[in-house]
Amino acid sequence: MGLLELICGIMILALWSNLTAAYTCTMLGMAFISYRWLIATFSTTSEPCGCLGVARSWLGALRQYEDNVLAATAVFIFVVGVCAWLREKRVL
Amino acid sequence: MRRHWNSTIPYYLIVPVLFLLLVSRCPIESALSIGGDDGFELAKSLLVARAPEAARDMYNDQPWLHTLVIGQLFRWFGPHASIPRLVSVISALALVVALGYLASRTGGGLEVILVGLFFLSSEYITTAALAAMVELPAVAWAMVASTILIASERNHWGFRGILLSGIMLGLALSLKLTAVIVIPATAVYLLAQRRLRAAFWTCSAWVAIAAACFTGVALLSPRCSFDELWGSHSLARQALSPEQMKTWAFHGYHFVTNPALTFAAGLGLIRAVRRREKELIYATALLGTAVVIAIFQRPWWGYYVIHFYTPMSLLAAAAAGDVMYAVFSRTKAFTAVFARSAAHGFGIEQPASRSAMTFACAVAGLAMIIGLWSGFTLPRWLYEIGSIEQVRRAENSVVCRAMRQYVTEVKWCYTPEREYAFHAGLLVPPELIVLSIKRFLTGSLTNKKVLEVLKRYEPELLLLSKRDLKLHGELSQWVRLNYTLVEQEDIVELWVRREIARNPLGASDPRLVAWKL
Repeated sequence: MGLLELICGIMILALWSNLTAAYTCTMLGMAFISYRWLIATFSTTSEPCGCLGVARSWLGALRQYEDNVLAATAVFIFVVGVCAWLREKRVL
Repeated sequence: MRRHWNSTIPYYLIVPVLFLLLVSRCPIESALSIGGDDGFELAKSLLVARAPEAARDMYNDQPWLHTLVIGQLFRWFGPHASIPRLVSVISALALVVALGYLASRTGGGLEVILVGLFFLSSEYITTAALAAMVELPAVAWAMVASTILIASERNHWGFRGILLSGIMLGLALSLKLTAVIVIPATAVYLLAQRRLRAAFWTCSAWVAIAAACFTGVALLSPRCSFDELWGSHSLARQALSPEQMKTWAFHGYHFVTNPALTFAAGLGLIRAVRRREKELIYATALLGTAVVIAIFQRPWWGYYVIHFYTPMSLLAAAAAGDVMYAVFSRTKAFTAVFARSAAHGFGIEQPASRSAMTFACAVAGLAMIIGLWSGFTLPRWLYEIGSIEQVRRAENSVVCRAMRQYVTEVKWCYTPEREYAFHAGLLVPPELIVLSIKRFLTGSLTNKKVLEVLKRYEPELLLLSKRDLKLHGELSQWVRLNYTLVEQEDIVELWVRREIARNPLGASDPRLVAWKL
C-alpha cells in the first residue's frame, strides 16, 4: 500500500490525463508512505519527547484501524480510477 | 403523491429482503442471548404468561406494553424466544420503511435503498433488530408515528392522520419512554410546513392523544409506578460518581467506527442548510435532539446510538443520492432505473449540466463514501452478523440441559443470567428479574435485600456465577448450607435444593474429587 496508490496515480495521469484523479491518488500514496515511515520511526522510540508522544498516541489510534483504512483507501482508489476511465470513455 | 409512492414500492423491498437473507442463519429461537438486555425481556414476558398474579410484584423500570404483548403471544404460541425477536425484526423493517418514505421526499427510489442500507449496516442495529429488547421497537414505532403525521400533513388526511399518529406514538411511549425523542423534530417539521398557530394546535393534539394512549396502557398494566419508570433513572444519574459519569458518558468513537455514515451525514447537513428541505430539517432536528440527550443522559448505554443513526441515515442517504446523480446522471443504465428518482430529486426531466469541478468533487465524494463503507462499515457489519450466528445456543449449554431436568419440580429459579432460566422454561422471582446496575447504584437493591427475597421464595434452583459467591459471603454461606452443586459451565454454577438434587457434581466430577471439594 502507498506505492500502489502512487503507481495508480501516475498511470491515471499517463493513460487518461485526468489530473484530479491522478493528484488524489498520488497524494494518498504519499500520505501512506509517510504514515508507514512515521510508524516505523516512532514505534521504536522508547522515550519519546512530548511532541513525539502525541504523534505516537495518534498513530497508535490509527494503527488500531489500519486494516480498515487500507481497505477503504484501496476501494477509494478503485472507484476514482473506474470513474476516471469511464469519464475518458465518455460514458459518464 | 400516491402515484409516486406506488412507483417506489419495489425500492422499499430491496434492503429489507437483503437484510432478511443476511440474518437468515442467525439462531433467533435457540440463541441464549442476543444483545445486552435480551434476558430481561424474555424472563419478564415468561412471568406474565405463566404467573400473571406474580407480575404485580415485578420490578419493572420500563413501560409494560412490550412485556404484556409478548406475554400474551407466549400464552398463544408457547414461550419461544423467536417471538419477541421477530417483533424486533418487524419493528426494524417498519423503521426502514418509515425512513424510506422520508428519504423518497428528498429524492426517490435510490434514496429509499440508501437510507435502508446506511441504517441497517450501522453498528449495533443488527443486534438490536434481532434482540428481544425494547430500544429499537420504541424508536421504530415512534418514527412510524412521526412519519404518519408528516404524510398526513402532506396529503391532508386531517384529524384522522393526527389520531392514528398520536395513538402510534402513545404505543411507542408504552414500549420505552425514549420514543419521546421524535416529538421536537416533528414539531419543527410542522412549524416548517404550517403557520405557527396551526402547527401549535396540531402538535398539541398529537401529543395529547399520545399521552392519553400512554396513560390508558399504564392503567391497564399490572402496576404503574412513576418512581420505577422515571425516578429510578434520575436517581441513578445523581448517584454516579465523577469517574462513573465519565465511564458511562457518550463517547464519539461510535462515529469513528462508522465513518461512511458520519461523512455522508455531514454532506447531508450541508445540503439541509443550503436547500432547507423540510424532511432534512426534520432529520437535523432529530439529530440535534439526540445530541442534547446524549450530553445529559447518564448512564449512557451503547445501544442509544440508534438515536443518532436514525437521522444520520436520512441525511447520509440524501447526500449519497446527490453525488450518485451527479456522477451517473448521464449514464443510460442509471437513468433508465432511476429516471423518475433523478427527475424528482433535481426537479428536472433531463440530467443537469455540470462542470468538471462538480464532477470531480462528486467522484471524490462518491469514492469516499463507498471506500469508507467498504473499509469500515461492511467488515464490522459482517462481523456483527457472524458473532450473532455463533452465539451460544440453549441446546449446547450443559447447564441449560441440566436445568430442564428439574422443570417439573421447580417453581422458582434465581439467576442473574435470566436467559438460561427462560430457555429452561423456569420462572425467576419477580422482584429479582431486573437486576440492573441502576438499582444497585441507587441502593434500592443490595446484596442483603437479594438474600432476603431469596429466603422468602426459597427457589429450588440457583444459577450463580463463581464471582457472585466469592464476593457475597452471606449468600455463599446460605447457598452451601441449603443447596447442592450439580453442574457448572464456564463461570456459572447450578445449585439445586438438597431435597431434590440428583447427581451432585462432586460425586461424579473427577476434577472436584481431585481438588477435595
